[in-house]
Amino acid sequence: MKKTKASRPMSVAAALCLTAALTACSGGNSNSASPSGSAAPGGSSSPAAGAVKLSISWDQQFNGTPGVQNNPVANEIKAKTGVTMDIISSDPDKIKVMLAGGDLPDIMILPPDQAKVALDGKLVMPLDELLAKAPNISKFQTALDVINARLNNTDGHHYFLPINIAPNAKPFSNYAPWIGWYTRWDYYKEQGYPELKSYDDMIPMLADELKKHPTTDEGKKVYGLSGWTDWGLWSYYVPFVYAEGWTESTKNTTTKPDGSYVYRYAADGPFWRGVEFYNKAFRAGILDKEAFTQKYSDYQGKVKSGQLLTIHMGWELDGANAYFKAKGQDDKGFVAQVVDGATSQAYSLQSIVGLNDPWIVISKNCKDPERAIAFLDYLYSYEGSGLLSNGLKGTQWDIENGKPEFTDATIKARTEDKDFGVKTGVGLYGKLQGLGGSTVDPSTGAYLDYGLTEKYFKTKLNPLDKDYSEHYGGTYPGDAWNKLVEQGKAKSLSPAFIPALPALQSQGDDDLAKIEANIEQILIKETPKAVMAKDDAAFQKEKERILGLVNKAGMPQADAFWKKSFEDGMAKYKELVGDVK
Amino acid sequence: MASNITARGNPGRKKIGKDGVLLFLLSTPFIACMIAFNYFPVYGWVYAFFDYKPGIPLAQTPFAGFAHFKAMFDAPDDLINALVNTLAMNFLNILLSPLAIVFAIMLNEVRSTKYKKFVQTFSTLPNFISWVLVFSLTFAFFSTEGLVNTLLAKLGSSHAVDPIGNERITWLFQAGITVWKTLGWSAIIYIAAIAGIDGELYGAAKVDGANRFRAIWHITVPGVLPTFLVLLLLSISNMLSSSFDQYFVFYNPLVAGKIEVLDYYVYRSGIKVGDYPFATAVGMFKTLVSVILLFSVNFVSKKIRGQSMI
Repeated sequence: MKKTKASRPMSVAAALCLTAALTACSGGNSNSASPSGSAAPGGSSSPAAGAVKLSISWDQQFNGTPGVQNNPVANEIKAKTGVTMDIISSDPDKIKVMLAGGDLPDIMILPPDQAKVALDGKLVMPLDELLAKAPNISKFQTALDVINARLNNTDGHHYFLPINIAPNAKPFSNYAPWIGWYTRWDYYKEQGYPELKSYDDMIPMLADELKKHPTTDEGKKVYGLSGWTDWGLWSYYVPFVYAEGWTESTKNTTTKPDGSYVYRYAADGPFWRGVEFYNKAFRAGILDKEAFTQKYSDYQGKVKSGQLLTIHMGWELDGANAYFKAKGQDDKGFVAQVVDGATSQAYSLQSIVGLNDPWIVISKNCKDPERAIAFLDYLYSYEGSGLLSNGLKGTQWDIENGKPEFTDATIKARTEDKDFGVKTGVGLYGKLQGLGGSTVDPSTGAYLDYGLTEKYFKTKLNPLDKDYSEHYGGTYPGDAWNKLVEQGKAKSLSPAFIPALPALQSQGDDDLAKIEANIEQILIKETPKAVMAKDDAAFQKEKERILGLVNKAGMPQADAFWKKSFEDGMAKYKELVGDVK
Repeated sequence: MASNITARGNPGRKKIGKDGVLLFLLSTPFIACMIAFNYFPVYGWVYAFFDYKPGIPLAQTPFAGFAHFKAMFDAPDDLINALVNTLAMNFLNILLSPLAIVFAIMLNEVRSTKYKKFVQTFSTLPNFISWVLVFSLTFAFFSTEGLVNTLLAKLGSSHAVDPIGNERITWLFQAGITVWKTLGWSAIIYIAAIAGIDGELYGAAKVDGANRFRAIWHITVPGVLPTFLVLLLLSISNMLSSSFDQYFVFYNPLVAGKIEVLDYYVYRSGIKVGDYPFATAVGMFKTLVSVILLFSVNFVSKKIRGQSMI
């Protein structure tokens, strides 16, 4: 998963109020349930008569082995539902071709930007009749309504299921920040913990580090900063969105750190913030030029062989630090770089509306819709979601001191064995997990994800993270960031991030989608020229030239549309929840 | 071989004989395949005249007329760039195509049969490697930490080469890779053509005092020239549709301006942007240019050789 959404705790109340209001507004939904969640513990499914194999396409490359799934979690799902999962690994292009050609699997994980195509083309199945047989999913009618509102779908049917719904949303603390800028703690320490006023100050710091450590122990070249080409423009701006307090409620609506609207690719938007940073890195001689030619897998190769001084994603930390661990250098590796006033992502929030991206659909070609909905319904139960998140009781987890906990062996394996998910199935099918990890299971009183417990954090804590956390007065990295927020040295995520805002905004039509896709293609092609500008004047000139191209391709039109959509959405939001900062 | 078509009965009227019927039946599956895979897909052109959206039947899709063609020429920069790139890289390939003849002639002159066969097999193998693997090999050779740059660094050079990300040499680099991949395979047909040259001609030349080079120049080269011309004409007519795989795998933002060919532009417009009717219109434009090239080449061929290809 590339992205997740988070907000500061204060938005919980606002989101819940909005949820209640939306539920009231949705009308005609007989299955509406309280967002605070009265979901019965445990799954209600039992193996239906006969086994069935359902093909399920992922929205991205599947982390495991595609095809018929055979691991403890998949086998347990088969035992409970009778469904054998046949996973199809995918990518955005493949999904578009599947939709255009009508060659659809039984179940699809769809990104929202393809939802309108699927809906208009009647390529997905209306779920309303099926939902009558899906008691677990039906409890989250609100979340389904929100998607309809987001898609301007007024035909009275529901087609899309959000994932990771948290019916009793409350903020939780991550072990470490999720997306942003991560640098080598051992080198930072060696430099004497230099105070960084902004992320731009990382550049001279990284340049110094690179000068001192130009190669790995194995003699491989080290780079200050790198990137990859096959995620589009992601690496340019997403780390900044999370680290500097910009927000991105949906793909199209971004806000500045001060909460005001800005178009993502506008001259003063997060994209150009990132490009400017990359240009500075280029001019400082620390940028890996292969950032413009290599694929993500090549980038990953460099991450895992200690060739980078910066990484972008929290979920890469274990893989990146495994390089040092394998050499017995437990005190070396990457941590989230602390910068004055940076945005903490230690606190996260999942909401009653689920994740904004992606959604689950049953395709019009599904050979057995009833079995498909029964299968999905199981995965929306506490039991099913817990199985996907934690694995099997007695194997991956057990009850310790009256609470469910991962076993020590599981925590060790999760941290050290990069194939743990593939071997066990734990965490492998998160895109089918109906309930979010921060959902509190009423049967245990604990978070659904046993990776959010104190035991897990303490057992996972290695010398590197311990040193880092203690330096900032915390017990684990996420806690250290919480302490920084308490001390006023870091900020919580912007209040401008409103999980349910997309539901209140009007969405663009196909023509707008084409304009925006074209803008992205132009930027993918042209941005490296700006990054490789030799000085400020040359950078400015390139920036203006590229802005000229995207303006010609219709950016002002897209900007105007989303500005109005954002303003209208915010007006509705204010109406519903009152005071909005 | 007996004539397939024999004239019987009424003069001027031809009757198909048994052999003709048999041959026709034998060819039927292939004709059917050609219709199914080459002509039937042409039906898809109809989408260029509609505002097509996936899943919606054509009957319910709004008619757009020539709007997508107009859009293509209203902002022609990308189209022209893709056309120039396509033509430039393919002309370079054509310019380098005589290398296969040179290679075949050189191979033919090798006395050791074992060595000749080894070289022939070894040089033919790259033709069977997929373009994805060719890219991986190229990356392993030319990336910052690749073989070439490592060697350069060990030799004390501070200059690193980066042909994968250097826009200025993209056309030449791609042509070079094409030559590496196809040289051995292309040479096979010339080796066959050389084998078909009457050996007595070489004997006569030797008697006349011709040395090896003279024999090659006056016998071998003229002997393979008709084959070369036929292949040249075919490659010109097919040049707009060649090697999408190659340009797709080598595409990156640094060389995008020089490597985006018409087929890639169709892919980008259709799959990436989701504008299927526009992509279809560009595909039709490509076909039109191909047909013009084919007839132009045919015209030239007719003038030069007195023979028409079609």
